[in-house]
Amino acid sequence: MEFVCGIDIGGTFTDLVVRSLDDPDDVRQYKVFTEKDLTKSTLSAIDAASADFGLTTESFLDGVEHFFLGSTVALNTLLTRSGSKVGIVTTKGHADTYHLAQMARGGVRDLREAVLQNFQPLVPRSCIKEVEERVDCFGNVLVAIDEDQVSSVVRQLVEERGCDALVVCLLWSSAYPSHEQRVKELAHELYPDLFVTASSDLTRLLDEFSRTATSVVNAYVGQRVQTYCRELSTKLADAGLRTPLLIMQSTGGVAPVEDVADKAVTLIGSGPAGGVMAARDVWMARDGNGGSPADRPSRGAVAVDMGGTSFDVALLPQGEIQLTTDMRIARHPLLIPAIDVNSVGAGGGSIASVETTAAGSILRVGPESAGAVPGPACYGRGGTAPTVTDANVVLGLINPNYFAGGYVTLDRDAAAEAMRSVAEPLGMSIEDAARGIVSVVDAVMGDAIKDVSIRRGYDARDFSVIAYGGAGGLHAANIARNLGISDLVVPNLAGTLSAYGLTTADILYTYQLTDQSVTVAPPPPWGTGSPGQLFSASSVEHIEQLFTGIEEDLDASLAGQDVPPERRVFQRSVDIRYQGQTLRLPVAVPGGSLSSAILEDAVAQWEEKFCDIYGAGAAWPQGGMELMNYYVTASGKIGQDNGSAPTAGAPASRDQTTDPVMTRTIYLEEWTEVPVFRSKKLPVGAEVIGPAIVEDPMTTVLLSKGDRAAISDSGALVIAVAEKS
Amino acid sequence: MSVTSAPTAHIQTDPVTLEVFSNRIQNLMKLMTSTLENLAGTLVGRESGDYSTALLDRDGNTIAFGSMVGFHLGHMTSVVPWIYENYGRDSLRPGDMFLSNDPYSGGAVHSNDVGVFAPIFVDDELVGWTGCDMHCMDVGGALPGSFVPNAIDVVAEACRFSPVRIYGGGEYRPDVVRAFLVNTRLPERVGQDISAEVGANHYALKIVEETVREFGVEGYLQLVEDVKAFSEARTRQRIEEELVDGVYEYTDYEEHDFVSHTLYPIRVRLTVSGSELFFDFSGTAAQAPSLINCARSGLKGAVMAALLMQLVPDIPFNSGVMRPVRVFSEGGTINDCTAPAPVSLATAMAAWRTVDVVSGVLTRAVDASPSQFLRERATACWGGTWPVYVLSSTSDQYGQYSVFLNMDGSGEGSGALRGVDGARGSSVLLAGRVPSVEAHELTEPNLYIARRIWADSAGAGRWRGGWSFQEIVTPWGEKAADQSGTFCTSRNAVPTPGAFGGYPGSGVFYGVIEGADITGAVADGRLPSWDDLDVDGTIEILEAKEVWEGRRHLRKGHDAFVMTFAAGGGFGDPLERDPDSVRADADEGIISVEAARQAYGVELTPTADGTFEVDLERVEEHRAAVRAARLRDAG
Repeated sequence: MEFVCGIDIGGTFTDLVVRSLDDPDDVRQYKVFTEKDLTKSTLSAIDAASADFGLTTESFLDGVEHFFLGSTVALNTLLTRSGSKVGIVTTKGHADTYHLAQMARGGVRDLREAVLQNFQPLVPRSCIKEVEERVDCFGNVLVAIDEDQVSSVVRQLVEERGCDALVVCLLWSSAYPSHEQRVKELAHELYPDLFVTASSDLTRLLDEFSRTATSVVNAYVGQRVQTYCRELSTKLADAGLRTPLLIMQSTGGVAPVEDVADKAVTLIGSGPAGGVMAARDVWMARDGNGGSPADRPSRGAVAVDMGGTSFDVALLPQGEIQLTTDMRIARHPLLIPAIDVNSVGAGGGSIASVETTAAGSILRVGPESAGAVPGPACYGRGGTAPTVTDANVVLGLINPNYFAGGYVTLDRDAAAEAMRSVAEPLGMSIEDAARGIVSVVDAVMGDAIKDVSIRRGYDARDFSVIAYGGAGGLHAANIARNLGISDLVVPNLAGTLSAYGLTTADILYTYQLTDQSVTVAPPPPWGTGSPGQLFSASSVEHIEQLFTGIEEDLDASLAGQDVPPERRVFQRSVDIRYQGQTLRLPVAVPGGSLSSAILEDAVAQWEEKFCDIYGAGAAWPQGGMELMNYYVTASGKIGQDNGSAPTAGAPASRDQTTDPVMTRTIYLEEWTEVPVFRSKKLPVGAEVIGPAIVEDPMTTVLLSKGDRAAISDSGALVIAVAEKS
Repeated sequence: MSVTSAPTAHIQTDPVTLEVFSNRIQNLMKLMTSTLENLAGTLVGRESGDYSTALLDRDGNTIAFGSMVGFHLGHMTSVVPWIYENYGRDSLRPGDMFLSNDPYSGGAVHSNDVGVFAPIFVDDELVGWTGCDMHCMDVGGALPGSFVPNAIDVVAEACRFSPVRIYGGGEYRPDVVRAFLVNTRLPERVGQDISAEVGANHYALKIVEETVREFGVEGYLQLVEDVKAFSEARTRQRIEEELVDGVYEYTDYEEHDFVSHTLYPIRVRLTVSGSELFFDFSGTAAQAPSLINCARSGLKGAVMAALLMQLVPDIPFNSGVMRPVRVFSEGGTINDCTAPAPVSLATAMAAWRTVDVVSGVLTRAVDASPSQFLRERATACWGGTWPVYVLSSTSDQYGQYSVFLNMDGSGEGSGALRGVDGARGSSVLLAGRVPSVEAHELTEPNLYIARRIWADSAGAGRWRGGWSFQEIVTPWGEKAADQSGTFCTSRNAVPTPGAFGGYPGSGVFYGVIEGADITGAVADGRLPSWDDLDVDGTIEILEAKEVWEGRRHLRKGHDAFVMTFAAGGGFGDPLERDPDSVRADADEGIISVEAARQAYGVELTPTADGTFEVDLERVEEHRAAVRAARLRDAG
């Protein structure tokens, strides 16, 4: 037997999903507590799977073709500030770039919060050294690098300052990376094993502060990530695994662990990536039985993950992952691609409060969260503040004895007691107060979806919502209804969806650089730009060289992973903008030989996209345009989405029935008795019409009146959302 | 059609819908401000955040406000009433959009603030307005950048348009836009700025229409009244329950009017009475003969700016907040000047200083508050200025005529607050960031030789102010020519004040090192460091206001220009600062050994690894000596 495994190591649980390659419908999931020794919990999940398949651990692992890993080790190392002691080598005169941090206030209006939330450097000033060298804005060397000085400052940083990781970020390495690479070589001559990150290893986008910050995070978390991956790889190899571990990156693509060890920053945003990839897979599979993509019910998917503290939204037009290079984690700007996820502070743990004035009251929900500790009042762990989860319990929507698979028993009285602090000042019943809390949080989440679609130039009504995360199913139908979205899917495996998503990913490498030399002249009477002559032959050649230069490097990386040439897919894109703007709105450029016509077509597509987003009145071609940032993504298709992608199949339950397992009294507009179904017991094709509740151990789905849910082939609930009355 | 609700208006909307609407309009503001950031034509908008957005009611009152440039609120609420008064409400059509930048018809703090406003109609019914404002790098006038120290009136300063339609009934009016742009030195960039504002407004038009369709016209108009009523009630509650009735006073100074080294006191007397605030600016200096003034809208906006950051940062900001607030000024004064007084640097001078003054008097009031939330918002002055340097060159690095406004002064140190040291922060008024060296060198013909944290710039205090920074540049580029410019600083004679015994931040200055010969050094294979240039020995400090145009130049690669920016004031007596924090600041190079001794009374001993030790036993002895010296000096 051959398998694909995806393991997602979270703070509380380690989830394992195993797909059998022999039987695409056979997808199994395992959940164990995460232990301090992470390899131990990994192995115990694998043991459980092996036993389930009736194999020894060794023969199970021997049959694993791809082993995917999702891990928050990079992010946790950054957030707990437990990384390496980093030193920085930079251009003479600019040692303080990192500490000045562009003097950014970060848009915080409250004076005190602006100070408290200020950037916290990971490297003290005493560990930042300058070297003689200077490049100008055209990439010309003004002052050559002083190699003796380089060796001397590297020695000082390592030997006097005790740095065990080094960052090299020099001015204009975006245009001329050679000086940085020379410093790296010299450092390695002195200390062959030293962890060294040159900013141009990661990115050549403009802005020396952001490149420095990106590189510092990389060096800061790098060694922790290396050790972690190495230990896990060794233990798994010892246990019988013959394939390299593939780890999920912020882009939704995976890379072999030995290959990302020196690019650990690419793992920082991997947390949400697994879920988004799974949502993508679910939407892509919605082409009917053997139908074509044109049969899909919508223009794309909105992946929404509602957890305890945050609501994460990612837009997937036509199922395509949208990448951004504007990610910030704890005020550290990261100039590398990551899935564009809009995260708002709304979740099961969001705290409700009432502000009462002489004129009347307002009900606020979030962004403060009760988190996991103390958690919602109903957890009985000392929390007393009323939360969204408490509201759902009060409304009877969550089964107190069947929450998180029964791991947690909920205290309904505590939830009701907490709700009182909201209900009393509002002069409402606790049920109506609870309904109010749910309405507010639904609106916040709906706004987050709307915001994402508007910013990308789409109308949310044209999309399907794919909802997951512990609290997603209860809210999703109402959120969709408020937005006028009619198509909603709550996937099966909602509790282990991220682990499942891992198994659908391809190997992905990315690189990006800034080059500001190509401009497009404005149209008459402002300039001389006319269609057909927007790009000179030399511009076309220059752009071609930029793309092919990146592609050659990425191709070598894919070749290094034995990805055969026919499975290597390159995707080019470029930021176009009206001159003077900072806008990053990339547009795809076809691969292969470029021509002025192809580039003009890209410009035309960009202008159309621009107008979709900002309106035609925002366009200002009179000032000319410029091409700015060039991006290439290189995927190694490792088989997951060739042919028909298997989706998370429901292991057939022995006692399938279309009958409800019980009824429950829930508060909609009044207390109403509704049927409760177990999703595991519902046969494929079964239809459930709201009002009803569909439960499985990890998630609860609420269907309101008129909502119609059907069990798909994959065991997902596909819901036709009733229109808002 | 009610104009405003009575102060005791009772909210009609239910508490859930009110929150849903309140969140939605805050999201709209984020969408609009990020549009301006993304689409702005110059570094001023896209990096420094010198823009704002507002959703207004039918009468032009604020319902929601985006960005941090709070004093834009003054004129953003004046444009609509001006249009009604001069053109009449009946003249409005769906699809109209107005451009406005005249400080005296209510539309700008200075003429660089180019606003774009649009009435929002749903099914031919006027339900409100949307508006944006953006600092455009040049709006014409006598000098590049449109800051004109030697202008005797507003007419000489810049091109001014009172509100004029750039869209009429949905039709774009290129003739009007061209007429405006022909007056600027940067028509392509300013055209981009205006289009960015059109783009931001388009979101408000769309989202408000959807909201009206959801709640109905009556329902929407009620929501608008109710968010204002709620904010008013919360503000009154805060004033009544958390501020102590009484009279608080504060004075700060604007300085140097180009003609002379005059100091201009701005005085405020705040009376807290019940649920109301009264800011009385009587006794403020008469208006200046030059660009440092601001008009009434700047004064109004400055009061709002300080309130929204310090007294009510947690209350949705709208015109309801201002209903319990009264402002009196005698008029003809530096922060309430009479037309046609020049105002081209109002933003950096009188209006900004008025923010400092209001924040200063609020600090006295909140420090006396029984509320911890408010006491923690007692602050020393933040940076408190925005030094301006506009260069112009007949040829930049690409061979083009160039005008460039350096906005790095927006990167100030914050003031210390009760209980916390100040931080780096992009000024009290600007949301953005200081452009990176690469962004600068890409767009302007300069070489940034060095940028560094300015040691000892932070005001000393029990809680230290936020430090600031300095930089040195020289004109650069094969095709580039020498540069001329306009230079305006303040906070030089009267540096950024501390609070409650905290020391001021360092005085701000610009300077020139003639004959620094960067070209020669580069030819020798090195760039001079800060120390190589012997800045302290060779610098010529410029006057706080200078106009070089046509008379003097920074020579390419030959002269170096030194900029310093404002640091934050300290909070509380530095002799009460934890000696270990003093040592940590010295270890990081934020303060010198001398400053540790003189300001903090802490003797530091260097160690082998370049850090310092403090002899805790001797701290009290030193501090007693410093206290004795203070008494002696006090006579």
